[in-house]
Order: sequence, then C-alpha cells, then structure tokens
Amino acid sequence: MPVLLVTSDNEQFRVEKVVAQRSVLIKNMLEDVGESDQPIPLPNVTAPVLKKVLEYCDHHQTDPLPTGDEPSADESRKRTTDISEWDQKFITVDQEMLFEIILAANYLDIKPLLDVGCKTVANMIKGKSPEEIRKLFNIVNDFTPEEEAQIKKENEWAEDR
Amino acid sequence: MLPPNQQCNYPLSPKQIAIVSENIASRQEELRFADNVILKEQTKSADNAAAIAHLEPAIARAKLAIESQKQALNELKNIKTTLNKSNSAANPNWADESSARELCKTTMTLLESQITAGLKRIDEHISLMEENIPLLATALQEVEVEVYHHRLNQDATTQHITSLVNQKKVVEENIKLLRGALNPVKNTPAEIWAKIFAIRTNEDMELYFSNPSNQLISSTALNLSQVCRFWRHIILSEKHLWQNMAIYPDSQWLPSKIELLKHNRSLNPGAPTFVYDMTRAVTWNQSYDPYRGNYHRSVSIGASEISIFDNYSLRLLTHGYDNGAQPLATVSFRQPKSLILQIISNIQQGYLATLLGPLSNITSLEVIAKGTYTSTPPQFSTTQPSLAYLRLNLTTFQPFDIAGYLSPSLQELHIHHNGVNALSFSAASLQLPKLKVLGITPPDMTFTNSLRLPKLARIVLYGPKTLTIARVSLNQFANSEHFKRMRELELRDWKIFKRGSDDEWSVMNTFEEIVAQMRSISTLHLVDSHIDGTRLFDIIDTLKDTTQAEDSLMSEVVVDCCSGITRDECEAIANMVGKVEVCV
Repeated sequence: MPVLLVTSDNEQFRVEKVVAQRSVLIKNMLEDVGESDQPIPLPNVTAPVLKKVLEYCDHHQTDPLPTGDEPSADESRKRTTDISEWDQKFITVDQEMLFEIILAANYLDIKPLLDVGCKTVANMIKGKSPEEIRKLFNIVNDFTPEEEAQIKKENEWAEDR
Repeated sequence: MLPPNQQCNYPLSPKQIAIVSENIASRQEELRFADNVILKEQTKSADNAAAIAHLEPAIARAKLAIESQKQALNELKNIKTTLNKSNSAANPNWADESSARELCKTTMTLLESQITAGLKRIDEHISLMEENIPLLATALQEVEVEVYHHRLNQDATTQHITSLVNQKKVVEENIKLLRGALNPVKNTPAEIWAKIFAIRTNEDMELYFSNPSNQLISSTALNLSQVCRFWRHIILSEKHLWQNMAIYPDSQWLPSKIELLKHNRSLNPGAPTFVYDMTRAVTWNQSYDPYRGNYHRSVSIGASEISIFDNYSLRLLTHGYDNGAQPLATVSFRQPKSLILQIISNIQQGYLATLLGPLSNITSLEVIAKGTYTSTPPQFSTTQPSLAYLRLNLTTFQPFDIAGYLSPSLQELHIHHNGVNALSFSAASLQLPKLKVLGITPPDMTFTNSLRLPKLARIVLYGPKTLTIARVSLNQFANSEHFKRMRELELRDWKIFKRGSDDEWSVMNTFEEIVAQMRSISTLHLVDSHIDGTRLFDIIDTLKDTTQAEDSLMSEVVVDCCSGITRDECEAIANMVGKVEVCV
C-alpha cells in the first residue's frame, strides 16, 4: 500500500509503505494513525532531499530493520570505516546536500543512512589541520585571545613530546 | 547545552532560523525591486539610444543638404560670373559692316536682355538660397541639441543602472551571508558532530595500531577541538573522545597536559585508556631537537599524574621483543585494571611473562598479535590471580599449552586465531569455576572437554581467520556436556571457507550439522558473518518443529552486522522464535 509524504516545500511523494518504513519516524506515525490514506507531513525535509533519502530507502528496502539501541563501545570500535560501494556512490553529493541528508536521516530516524553520512564527513576531515577544516566547512575561527593562548599551550605540549 | 555566548558557528535555534529566513525574504524583495528599476532604466536607455539612432541620420542628411545648397549656390555664382564675362566679351566693333552689324546688334541686344534676365533669376535663386542656408543650419543645431539631451539622459540612466547593479551585489552578498547562517553544515546539531568526531577519533587510533609509523599517535580530539568554540565545547564534553590518551614517559609533562588529564578524569571517572607506544621509546630517548639545539629532555612520567586516576586501562604497542624501551616496572603503569597488548611483529619467547611481571592485578587482558605468536605459558593462575577476562586474538602461532593462561578467576575466555593449528592442553582436567563465556576457534574444541565449567552459559564460535582451510566437524563438540548445558550460542566472524576441491564450510552448514543439539539454546547470536536467510529460516523451522520429542528453547535470534538476510526473513524467523534483534 502506498504512503503519501508531503515535504516542507509542499511537494508530494507517493511511495511504497515498505520503503517509507525504513524511517522509524514514519513507521511510528503509520502505526499511530493505522490504516489511513492521510498524507504524512515532513516539515523538516525539502523535496530534493526527500527524493535522495527515498532513493536510499528504496535500495535498502529488503535489509533487516535495526531493532537494537546504540552499539556497545566494542562494537562501535569495529564499525568505523566501511561504507558499501553503492552507499559510497549514493553519498557522493555536494557538501550542502550531504549535510541535508544527514539532518534528514537524523530527523526521520534512519540510523544506517545517518551512519553513512557521518562516516563520509569523518572521512572528509581525516588528516586535516584545524585551518583546513575551517576552510572546508566555511567555519569562522571564533576563539577569544585567551582561548587562542590555551590552544597554543596545547600545541606546545603536542610538539614537546 | 550550549554556552551562553553563542557565536556564529553554533547552530541556530528555530526562532533564529525564522528571523534569518524572514531577513532573507526581505532582502530578496529588495533585489526584485532593484531588478524592476533596472529593467525600467534599461528601457529608458534603449529609448534614448533609439532616438539618437533616429536623429543622427537626419543630422547627417541635413548637413549633406546644406552642403549641396552651398555647392549649388557657388555653382550659380560661378555661372553668373561667367555670364557677366561673356556679356562684356560679346561687344566687338561692328561699324564697318552696317547690316550685319545691325543684325548682330539686335541679336546681341536680345542676348544681352536674356542674360540680364537669366542673371536676375540667378540672383533671385542665390538670394533664396542664402536665406535658406541659415534656416537649415538653425534646424540642424536644434536637432543636435536634441541628440545631446538624449545622450545626457542615456549617461544618467547608465550611471543609475551601474549604481543599482552595485547595490544588488551588496544585497546578494548579504543574502549569501544570511544563507550561510542557514547552511546545513552550520545547523548540524552537537550530537551529530559528536558522532562524527567519535568515528574519526576511533578510526585514527585504530589506523595507528594497524600501521604504526614514526609519527606520534595523533590526538584527533585535541586537533578537532581547535577548529572553533562550538566544536571545542562538544569535544570537551564527550567522554568517549578522551578515552584513549597517548602517554610518552620520556617527555616533559606540561601543565596543559596535566589539565587535560584532569579534564579526562572528570569525564571518565571510570577507566580512561592510556596508550603507551613502546616501539618508539628508544628513538625518543636518543632524539635530538634541531630547533632547540639540544637532546630531548627525558622526564619520567610522575606517579602523581597517573595516580589522579583510581582506575585506568592501558594499551601497549610493542614489537614483541626487548627494544630497550623503558620497562613498565620503571614507569607508573603499575596498576592498570585492564590491558590491551598489541604486538606488531613476532613475539620473543618469554616476552609476555617479562612484560606483564610488574603488573600483578590485571582483571582484563587482550593480546592482539600480528606476527607469529610464540609463548612460554605465563602461569596466570599464580601471576594474575584477579584475571577475569582474557582474549587472545592471534594470527599465526606456534602451538602452545593454553593451560598456563587459565586462571581460576576467569569469567570470560576468548581465543580467536587462523584455525590452522590447534592449541595444546597439558592438564588432565582443570576447573574454571567462574567461567561464563567461552570463545573458541574450531580446531580448539577438544581441549574444552578437559575443562570443568559449572557456570558456562555462553559459547562463542569464531570463524577461522584463514579462508582456505578444510571443514572441521563440530559434531563431537556439540555432543559435549558443555554444549548441552549452555543457553547462548554466538557465531562470530564466519566467512565462507574452502580449500581446493573440498566442500564449502560456512556458518550455515555448521548450523545444519549441530541443529539437533541446539534445543537447549535460548539465544542465538550471529555476529559479523555472512548468512543465508532462507537456510537459516529452514534450520530454525526444523528446530522449532513441535512434533519432535524435545521442544526447542530458542526464543531470541540476534543478527548483528550480518549480510545475506532480508527484512522479510528476519520477520519470518521472529514469528517462529518470538524475537529477532537486528543491529547494523
């Protein structure tokens, strides 16, 4: 049975329930409203982003739905790097879209997609200096002079080892 | 919680987002207004240009007309001069020939009167033309003034358009800035950044351990904390990011490092992990600092710094032989509760016992060996009386007697290796009264029969690390007393094994072989393995067959990071056993 999703920019997406239910948020909403053809509003997601998210959900529609909570420290240690080939291709988007996908995955509660997004950003900052990271994400250096002095001290320690 | 003095790197609140969005909308309205004005000015400018384009040929034509009038006037004046000359030249002396003379005279008179009349007409034309030329010149001047005004208008319009375009640029820049504030990068909440930082920090540490270099162990958390105040705030609040702290006993302890240690203690009152790289200790003791022009000062780590922690773990990176690094006995690492020992090359006989000698009260030990593991049994039953958790994660090894590693205090024992060799066991029988979890790699199953494990509740079967090995039968093991009594079975790290033309060996045919003995198992864990969902369903279906003499106790299946199983298959299995937990 298809489900009607309405984005913040008022675009409608009709998708199969099994695809929409990759989102725990939508799954819970569907369970709450029961059998109904009421459209589901998604006020925090725009149409281009939802289109991308649904592409992910469609590809992974047969994957088992995660039921566990956060993995233990041991488990998180082993799961830091791998991104499947399809996911890697899927997440090769511009920076703005990447973060939009992460925010949407967080809002829609699609943990595997959130993981893929976070791993991608983690890879982007790999081996970069603070200045390079600021440039990459257009972040302003907003430290006070006192904080700058503290950072300088920390760097002295790092260099002195 | 964000600090009160929020800066522009902090995510905006929904109210702030609404204000910024409104601001953007209003600035966009200004842009649209400017666009309309520009359009009107451009129309005006085009009209002026059209008028100028229309008038300019008229001016040219008028100039041409004046010129041709002037030319015609000059020509007429020339003709008049010529006629005047002709008239005077046509008066010869005709006195001697009277009749001809008379005739000529008459003719001449006639001609003269005609010339006079012609001259008169020419004079009239000339006078008319002389009157017209100033009129034409005046008209031309008027048209030129009109063109000049059009040009002035056009210049003013162009200047106005340029100024509007510049204003537009300012507004666009402003919109860009405002949009920057709404950028999803800037509005990513702290908990997502924390997740990203955790991935980066863990991965950097693991990368260092998997491929140690001459570089220092990078302090990823420290590096990331220097990007901006928002990131620093997140990083200093996340205890997981400070779980591993690199310690260099041969370096000076600056107050900033001690402050970080104290910060770490406030976040991790439990057990932070100090990372000590013994592979580079010799190099550091001998290092020369070219910037300071002296040898690097060695200041031993002070007991006071470490003692601010009641409880800590230690992670050691070592070559597996004595490279002259400061032995643990001489530094303050005397009482770590937990130790992870990462050995990057072949281990020297007896190295482990020597290394661990000064550490007498370890409760948890993990040995990860990359090279060939050769062991003199360390007699943990006497040297480590508190050891509750032991994991040997080996690659290749010389078979050794596992009995020397078994302490009666053990509650959890894991031995994971390539599966090519089997461990030996010298004791006829050994009681491990507290052991609840036993993890083994298939060739090692025989030694477990010599153990007495009254509290065993869970068995972990590790897939061998070598893929090209022959299938090992688990039948005898599955019929053992231990297997019959335990409630949880875990299969971890199972790939598909095959040697030459032998049959494939996978987690599925392992299950099929022991399914008849699995009736006492209540929870089945499948971890980091490739499974076949359809076959798993069939196996569990057989297990749950109620027509069998003995009912299966299986009530939960945990699928943790496994491939080869679908959502529908998980749901079908859940319908049979009651619960399927999936971790991704």
